[in-house]
Amino acid sequence: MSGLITWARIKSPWLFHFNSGSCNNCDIELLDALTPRFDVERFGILLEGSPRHADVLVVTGIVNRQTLPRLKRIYDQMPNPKIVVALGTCATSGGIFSEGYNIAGPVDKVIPVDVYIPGCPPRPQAIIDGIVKALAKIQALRGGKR
Amino acid sequence: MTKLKAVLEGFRALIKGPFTVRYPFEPSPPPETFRGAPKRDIEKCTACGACYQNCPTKAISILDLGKEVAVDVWYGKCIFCARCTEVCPEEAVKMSLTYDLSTYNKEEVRESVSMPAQRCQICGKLITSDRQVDKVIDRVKILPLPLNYHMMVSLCPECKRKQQATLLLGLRVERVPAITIPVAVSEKK
Ligand code: SF4
Ligand code: SF4
Ligand code: SF4
Repeated sequence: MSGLITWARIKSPWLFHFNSGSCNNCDIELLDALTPRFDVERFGILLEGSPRHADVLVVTGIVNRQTLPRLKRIYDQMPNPKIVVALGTCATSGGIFSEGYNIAGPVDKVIPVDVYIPGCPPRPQAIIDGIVKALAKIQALRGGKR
Repeated sequence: MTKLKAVLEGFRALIKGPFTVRYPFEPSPPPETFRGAPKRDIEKCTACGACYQNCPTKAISILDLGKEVAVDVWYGKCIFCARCTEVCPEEAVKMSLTYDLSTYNKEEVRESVSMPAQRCQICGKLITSDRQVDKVIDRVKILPLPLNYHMMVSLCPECKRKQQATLLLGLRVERVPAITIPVAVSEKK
């Protein structure tokens, strides 16, 4: 049974995209990756509106004090096993905003992150690369442990 | 009208093949002017620190490795702005076409070049690299140089100031031993 669930998860991972205070460029590139030009739906990847149905949480942007409790709440609402992808330089390390006055991040300071995709913004190809890496991680997490 | 357009698009796709980039299965090179990960030419870089001072995100650091000095850039923090390529006096750093930087461990996406370091002959503080000292000597050679210029370029600014004061004004500052080269050489070892 758990093998079947893992198989389903790899064949069609559902993404939840959370903007934790990014400049919006990374969000646009993520949507780019979903357009027919790059088409991550080839891998069964679907953008999902609710964290309760999602397998992968894609966080863009530096986590600021406003979004911090919301990010935590969303992370708690996701079913196990959770995969978190930090998209962009901001989410990875803070990047250009790292010395801002309202910064609570980067993302891995708040929640555990599995895959980092540096780039400001990353190319859609780099995002696909990162998501493929995340899928490999889901495969490694077989059995639903986290 | 839009429906007609869609049908035409469909026919075009039949002839030209799909519009989608087959990325993970086929390489998808970026355009020539793409700003990917900045890479240093180890032959040219002198660890002068101009890129380190000008990087807007402080992605670049100058590391003191004892006998060597390293210029280290962390792509996890770099925003690919190409400021470092603009300020580099040696034109040692160039934006490459590398973009697939995604990783499980963010600390490992970095590039480091190292070269022999030049330390202050008196206090042992890191000044710059050997290569930079040679460059500086090369550039000032046209001027009449004092006899001890080799020693002067291998001191940190603070020790240099004290040394100058000692030599020029005949001051004897208690904390600075007058001529300390033999001591310094043994200290270096
Ligand atoms: S990484 Fe760059 S493009 Fe992405 S949200 Fe941060 S500043 Fe914007
Ligand atoms: S500015 Fe150029 S020469 Fe100086 S440390 Fe940076 S890369 Fe090296
Ligand atoms: S490209 Fe910009 S952010 Fe990246 S290392 Fe160079 S100066 Fe720093």
